[in-house]
Amino acid sequence: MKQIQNKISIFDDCGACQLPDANQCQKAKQIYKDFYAMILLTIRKTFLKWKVPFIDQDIEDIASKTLVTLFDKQCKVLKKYDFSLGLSPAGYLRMKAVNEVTLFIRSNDLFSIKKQKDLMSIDDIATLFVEFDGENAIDLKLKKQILSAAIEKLNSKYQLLIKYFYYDELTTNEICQIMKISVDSFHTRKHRALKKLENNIKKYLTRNNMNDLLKAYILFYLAPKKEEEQWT
Amino acid sequence: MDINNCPDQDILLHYMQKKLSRKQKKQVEKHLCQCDFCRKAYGISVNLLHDSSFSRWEPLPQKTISTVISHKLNEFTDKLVFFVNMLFKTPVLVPVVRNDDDIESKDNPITVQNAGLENGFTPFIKTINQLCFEMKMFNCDEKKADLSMVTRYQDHPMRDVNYFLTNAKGKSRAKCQEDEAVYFREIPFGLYELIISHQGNETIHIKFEINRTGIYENNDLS
Repeated sequence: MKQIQNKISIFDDCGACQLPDANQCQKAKQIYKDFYAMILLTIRKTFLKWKVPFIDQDIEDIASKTLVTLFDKQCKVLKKYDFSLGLSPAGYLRMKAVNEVTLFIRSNDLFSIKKQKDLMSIDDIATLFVEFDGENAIDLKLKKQILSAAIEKLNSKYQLLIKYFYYDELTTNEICQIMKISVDSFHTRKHRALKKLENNIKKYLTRNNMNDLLKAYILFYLAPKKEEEQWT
Repeated sequence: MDINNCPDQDILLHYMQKKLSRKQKKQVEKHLCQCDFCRKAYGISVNLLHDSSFSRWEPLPQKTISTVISHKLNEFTDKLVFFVNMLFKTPVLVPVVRNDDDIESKDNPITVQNAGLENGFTPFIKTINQLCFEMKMFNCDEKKADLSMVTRYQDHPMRDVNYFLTNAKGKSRAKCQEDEAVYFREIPFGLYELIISHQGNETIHIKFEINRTGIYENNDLS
């Protein structure tokens, strides 16, 4: 119990909130001294992970905004820290800093600009597939529609895995951290997800009486290994 | 929970630690599947929590109950062996500090820099998992000497460190509250056991002998 008390001492009610001047608060000074560098680093790393444009002034602004939200309304946010959740104090502050960055990105609509760029590049890649088909060019929109419909029918845990892996292009280790699973179970889950996706697409095609060419094309697109074996 | 009604960060925090009910968990997962922004934000925040570059702001790893119990048992058996050896055996000592070498190479600037300059004793240094423990001996006479101890974590002196120094006669204790070294005055020569604990967790456990020539770690019992 002593250990826990030591750990959360800076998050306890110090009684200084009633002081007229916030600069007199020793707790705020201590957090600023101990964790300000960490908050700056967190914000920079978050921007880099989002891959959105930013300047140094943004980092400083968000860092000061984070501290303000922590100490605002008599340290309301700071007092919300719950050690039973398994987060360290530094981890909690990091989460708050990440939250401020996401709010900043959302308010300035930086993500949608990035998303548009991503969509352009995916379209460029997709045109390569159209060229592969040659004479029978298939409507890209239709293909996307089929794929998204098939993905949406998956269980949420499979959907999340596929979206993290193929859409967000995260590494295996990162996904394992996010989903709290081992590497082995990640691979089995991914294998099952792809298998189910394939079945969903087959069902969709048979239900809508798609032509054979489209079937072959989409099966080739999803399971290249099997198709290669068949062709050879 | 629609796409437009993104969940609060506190809900995501509870979801991360698996503290939500089944219904809430399903709702959050469904939303994460639909909303690209929230999915990405959640992924980034989890990855940043596990980022090793923030380790210097994190506290030292806590021990579980099983490791504490096993450690206590080991500690008890170690103490037993230590006192039995003290009674019946002459312990095998592995010299860590070579006083003669130090005196010989006193002109060498590198060794002089590392050495306890005033007395000609080199400091006893032990590093375990980024923890560096340094012990110096000074004011040495024929029967006793003074000791100073500092513990550093990634080159920063640690606060709230407890030092328990034990010999056959009893235990003496010192606590380091500021960034200063801890001093044990007039320690008689003999075999000693030192336990260093930080925030209630035992971090370093050393057995050593002090005599006229320096500090010697006792590897026979560890």
